[in-house]
Amino acid sequence: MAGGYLSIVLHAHLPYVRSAGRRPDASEFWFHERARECYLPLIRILDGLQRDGVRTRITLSLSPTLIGILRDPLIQERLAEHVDRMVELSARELNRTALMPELRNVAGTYHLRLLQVHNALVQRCGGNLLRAFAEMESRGQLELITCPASHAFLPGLVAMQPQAARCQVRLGLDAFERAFGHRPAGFWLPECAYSPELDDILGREGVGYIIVDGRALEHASPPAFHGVHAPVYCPSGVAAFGRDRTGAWLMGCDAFGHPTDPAYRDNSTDIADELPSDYLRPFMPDAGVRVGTGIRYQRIGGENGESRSYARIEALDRAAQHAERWMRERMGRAQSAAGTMDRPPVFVSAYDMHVFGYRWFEGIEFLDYLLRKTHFDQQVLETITPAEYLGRHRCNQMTVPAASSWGKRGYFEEWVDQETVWVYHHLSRAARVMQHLTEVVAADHAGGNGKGRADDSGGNGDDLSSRALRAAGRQLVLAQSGDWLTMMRSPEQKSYGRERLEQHLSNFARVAWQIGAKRINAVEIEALEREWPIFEDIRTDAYR
Amino acid sequence: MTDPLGELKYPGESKLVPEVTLLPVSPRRLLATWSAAPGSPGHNGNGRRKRNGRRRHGGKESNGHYRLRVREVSGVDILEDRCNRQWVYELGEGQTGCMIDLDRPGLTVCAELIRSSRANGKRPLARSRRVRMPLCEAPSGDGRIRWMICEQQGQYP
Repeated sequence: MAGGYLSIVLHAHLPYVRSAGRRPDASEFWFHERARECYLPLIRILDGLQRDGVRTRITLSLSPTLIGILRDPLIQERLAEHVDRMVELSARELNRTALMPELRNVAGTYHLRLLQVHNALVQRCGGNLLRAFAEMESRGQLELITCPASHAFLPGLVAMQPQAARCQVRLGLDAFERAFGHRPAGFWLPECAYSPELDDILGREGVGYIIVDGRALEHASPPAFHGVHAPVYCPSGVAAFGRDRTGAWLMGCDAFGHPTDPAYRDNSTDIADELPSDYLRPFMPDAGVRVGTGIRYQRIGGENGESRSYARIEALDRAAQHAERWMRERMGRAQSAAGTMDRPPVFVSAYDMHVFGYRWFEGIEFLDYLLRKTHFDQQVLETITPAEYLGRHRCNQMTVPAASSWGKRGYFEEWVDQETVWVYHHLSRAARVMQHLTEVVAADHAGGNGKGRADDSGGNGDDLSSRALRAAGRQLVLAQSGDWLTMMRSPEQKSYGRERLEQHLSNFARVAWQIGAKRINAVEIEALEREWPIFEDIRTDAYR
Repeated sequence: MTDPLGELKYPGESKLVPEVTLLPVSPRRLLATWSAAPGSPGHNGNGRRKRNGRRRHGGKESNGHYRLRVREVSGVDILEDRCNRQWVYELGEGQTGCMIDLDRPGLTVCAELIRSSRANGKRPLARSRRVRMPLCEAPSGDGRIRWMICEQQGQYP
């Protein structure tokens, strides 16, 4: 038996971004950037680990909105076009830097990397990343889980309207099942935000385990006997794994996943900010918007007269050192805990997937080195997924985890403040109205006057009122996304977050009025279905 | 912050009973919001604390018609005195929510939305459920440790 378990959990999420126009807009480029720098490189390194016989167990959480993006044929097509264009840009960069030796090496690295990404997308995945993830799950490398439908901040939603939280959980699980053909064992809570009121909903929806912040177990009632080193069962039977806060940061990165080591690549400078528009125009979205190309030539350090040019070999060397230190630090803690526990401690290292490769360029290689070192260079730690752990250690303490999140100060201040009071007010009102409309439509289906028992199929049929109810439900689910709250705190994304929230709430209200007045505009419902082709099978009965 | 969607109305709200909801934000901070059903305030702004227990705090006298009363219902005695303190907030016209700062973590509180008019006097419009605020530290006392074996739908290998 291992001396300790290492459970790496990566959470990948993007809000639903899909351009209705012919060419993708800037928000869809967010997806392109992450696919190019995180998802496809991850697939490449996992294939490499499999080829070299490295035992790897990673948990990957894919949000339902990201699954919706990855399943969309139009977005798949545009991603392939984007990668093609980036390969072409990197080839141009090779020519442009031909007489600049320091830059030329880095340009070569980018060109090679983009060719690998292109191969991973076209040859390995056939344009469909979900297929590759499913295959990795079937061979035991990955454990796939999901999260609420639109990444809603669940403690806020459950306090306002428990039915809305239930709908988010149910819809998230349904979307996952539709994409992968089975229910996930675990469920990611956005921002690791947990409140005890969620337990009943999660238990009823059949969730096996969740990841909570370490504080939730440390402040549990009664406190968790093993701290964060073993999971607990909530009263509903859902297992809660505590995120290992003491080592949550990554070597070489700050608490937000931003690289700090001088050898690492500087993410703040991009050729998109430096080169002329004419040169870059073919690679940018419409309307003259400039987005990051991911081609960056500078490193973080170099203030004291040293060269600021990025040196790939040096950066990878530093990533390998950091992986070694990260692993040794957990080995030491596993050995210390060995005498005090009746089982090996589990270290749940949960991260935003976008740290690796996107925010921290060398992060993907860090992960590769870490998994290889854990397999070849030591005997203490074993990688494991939470479901695998529960299969081995079925008896766990039962307690009530405390309300907490992985945000600043460990509670909910990052998502609830004076600026966002109005958001909760609208979400609460809209959810109550949704519940009311669901009952009205169900009563209509029962052929009644609202007094008879509602038909169970109400709202799930193909008739116009059911379609309208689902369209309203879809808009409400999208409005509940926690991303808008996060964006409204960022000066760069504030207006986008607010516009999206207003758009979804306005759409919801418009359709709701039509349902309420029994004057549904079929053309408008069809337009909404076409514009937002996600959560097609939304079941509004969660609101009843 | 002003509600940018202040004009947005939803159908059927007139048929719904007013509701107050509480969301613990941190051990000492609470968000209260209420529905905009008829008889309750409309949109956004901030509450102004008027009274704490039997003592009056600063702030102007009420010239509005709505109040939010937050009561501590922890059911504990401090120095042989039952804790039944309350905080009353005067609500501005159109206000839809406010942040409430409490003096201690771990309190159990509930809230009531009250409308006062000359004709009807003080009339409670809606009550929230009781909410337990989080603690800043692990709960005191050992508590009995219980173990259990659980398997959700045979999901674990």
